[in-house]
Amino acid sequence: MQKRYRKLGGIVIGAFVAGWPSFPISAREAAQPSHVELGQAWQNAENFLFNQAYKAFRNANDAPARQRELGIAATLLNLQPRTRSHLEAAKKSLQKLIDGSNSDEVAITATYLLARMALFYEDSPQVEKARQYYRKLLEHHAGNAVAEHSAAQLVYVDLYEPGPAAERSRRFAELETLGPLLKTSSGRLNYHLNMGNAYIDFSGPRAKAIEHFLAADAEGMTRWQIESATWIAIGELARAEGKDALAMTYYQKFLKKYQRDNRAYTIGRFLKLLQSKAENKPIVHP
Amino acid sequence: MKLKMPTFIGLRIVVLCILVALVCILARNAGEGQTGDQRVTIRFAHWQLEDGPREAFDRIAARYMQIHPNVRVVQLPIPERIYTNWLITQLVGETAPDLIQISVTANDERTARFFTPLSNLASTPNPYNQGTDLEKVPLRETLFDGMEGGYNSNLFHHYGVPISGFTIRMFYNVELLGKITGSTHIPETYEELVAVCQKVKEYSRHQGLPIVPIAGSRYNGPMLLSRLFASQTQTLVQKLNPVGIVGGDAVRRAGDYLDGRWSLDSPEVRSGFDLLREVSQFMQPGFLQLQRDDATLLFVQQRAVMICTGSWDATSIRRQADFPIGVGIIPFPSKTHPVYGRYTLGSLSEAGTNGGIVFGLTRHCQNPEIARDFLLFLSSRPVNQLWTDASHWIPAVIGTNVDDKVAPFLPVTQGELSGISPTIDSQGDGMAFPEVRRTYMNSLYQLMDPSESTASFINLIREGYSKGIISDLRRQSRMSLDLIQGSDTQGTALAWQARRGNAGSQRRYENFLQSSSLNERKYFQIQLILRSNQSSPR
Repeated sequence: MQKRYRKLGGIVIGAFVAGWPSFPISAREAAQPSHVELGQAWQNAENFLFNQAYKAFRNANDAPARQRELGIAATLLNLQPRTRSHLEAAKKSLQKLIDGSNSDEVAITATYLLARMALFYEDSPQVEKARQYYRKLLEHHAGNAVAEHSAAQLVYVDLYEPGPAAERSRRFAELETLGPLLKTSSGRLNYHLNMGNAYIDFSGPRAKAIEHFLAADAEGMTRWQIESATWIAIGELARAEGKDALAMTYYQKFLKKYQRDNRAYTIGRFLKLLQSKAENKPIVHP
Repeated sequence: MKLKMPTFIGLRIVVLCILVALVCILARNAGEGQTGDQRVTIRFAHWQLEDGPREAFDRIAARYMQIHPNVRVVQLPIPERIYTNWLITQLVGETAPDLIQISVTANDERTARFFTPLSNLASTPNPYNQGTDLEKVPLRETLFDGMEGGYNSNLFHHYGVPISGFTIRMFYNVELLGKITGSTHIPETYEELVAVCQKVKEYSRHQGLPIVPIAGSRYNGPMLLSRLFASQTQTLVQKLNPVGIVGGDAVRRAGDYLDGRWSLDSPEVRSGFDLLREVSQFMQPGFLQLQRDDATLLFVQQRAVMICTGSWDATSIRRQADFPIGVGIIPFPSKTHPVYGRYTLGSLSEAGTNGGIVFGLTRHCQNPEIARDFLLFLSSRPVNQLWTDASHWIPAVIGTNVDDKVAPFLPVTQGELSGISPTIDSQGDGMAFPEVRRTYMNSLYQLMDPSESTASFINLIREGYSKGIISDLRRQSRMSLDLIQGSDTQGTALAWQARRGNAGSQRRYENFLQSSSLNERKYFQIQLILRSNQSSPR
């Protein structure tokens, strides 16, 4: 009797322990149709619901295979708990997608993600490898928004590492050649923003920084933090370069749109100084 | 055979206990959300246990129930100390209230998992603003912060709606001030503040009364001290910023420190510490060991003439104090001050202050339409008017009238930018630099010690300060990397959604590219700083 209970108890507890983590998931999976709308899977991935997104991609057996595979690989990057084996599986999948066809949207995104993996998922970032992926994307897929974002990424990869100033100047010159190749608005916008900011960060020529920021402004920025900072940067750089009219234009643009910004009072003060100067009035420091 | 029975009984007892617990929970859950009169129940939780909000929320709930007799609105005030743990338990257990005050500890993953995006709500007019000049204005634009207080810049959605706002002020016992100084004039400059403090000390000595000029505590003291310190580093920030940058940037300042562009020995920083040393002599000895309530008690018992605290304490202080209260901004040294005037630009701008008491809608809400409707009701102008009238807290809806009690707390928009705080960040709360804050706070008592000097305090914290900066930068780098990694999956998803040609998705993808680029820039800047200073970047 004792043995029987022990055996039974063991079986019940064993089954319970083994089945517990998967029980609710299995029940849900059984209830789902084999084809799961990929839109919902992407939606989950967009909303940081990575585990749900991963499961939805896995269940989408009837969905377009390459898109489904890309979804699985992309969610594997953040599937919790994050493990080395998930990352290796993602890398393999992405490579397989590129090997299958290297020119469709899936392959472009897979290449972009491999560049990101080289930079951000290795114990020691593989900068050269990332650079090669980004360069390859720019070379072969002009006009594609994802591929063209590589230009903005290359600004970080090439410039934000310690080294002699001369080498950095050479890299700036090399990066300058990328601008004319970009065909998408978002590609140009983010490239110009990063270049303008890099010229500020490394005390490069102000005229070049202004040029890039003006180009970014022409594309139109959608985030207010970036737009306000860019307009201030143009105003400040122009003031330092003696381009007072340009500085005043951007100070006024900023003050008109961002009255509630805590920099508004300071910028208002700078504008007044320039206006006094323009009117040949004695400058009164508030 | 005798051995078998206890095991069998034990098992039965365990099963019975589980069944009883299950029945209790089911019975409780069945009871919740239903009342005898079959009304739908909407529950909202917050941690504002100060005087004012609870009464105001009760009145708002009553007004809503009057308009919607089929709905019962229940307020759940939760103590701040347990709020985060309580919230996580409720969210994970799917028993969370319908609307929840979003805590600063709500990370992106938790926000995405447990809260409903409200971006659609943000871009449409609030129906409860009908009949006002805001009736055709999108909700986002009816709020003084543009609803930024509820925007998650990593998830590219609004997840909450703010209904109030906060500022920091000096509170004065006007009666005592008049009695001691012969004038009820609220100090507008640091010089005036010091003159008042000296008179109070003198009065206390002569009269033999235990009155201190400023009530301090571990909570209140740093609010005043970090802002006064930052008055001395305003011109330093201007000097350090490259052309093109206006305002504070904590990562850049940390890099400047490690590059030797400023140090604890910089004249501006020394001046800041001298000022702290001076002003701390006007608080009660050992104030850094005291709690928030100790300082409030000292003030309401008329044993301190002033206290520095947030607008959230105003109603509580007014109710507890049986004397008139005066309110003023933190008085900065004037530019003509012989010692502290050299490095200051003037008092601070509070423009850009984000809204507070941000309510989010939980994903497991049983009646999302009604909860959403109540949220709109809460954030409409007529109801925000009721809110400020009843609580005397700052309203979030533009054009709401404020009375004399609230007016002194409205953000000051005409002012200068803050300098560097002792904890590097411009807010002075040390959230971004916890190790630096720990080093500074652990030794701050030394700066207050009359037998010590500013120089000895600086020497004491020097080593820990540098190490703290490196450690905090590494921490920030890891946090940025987490965001970058999360954004790779998110970005891929956004790019695919944008391909479908939906304008909203396209805009979100563009926002994503710009915002993620900001975070990446921060990451690369930190990596560059750490590697340039021969520190391991991870």
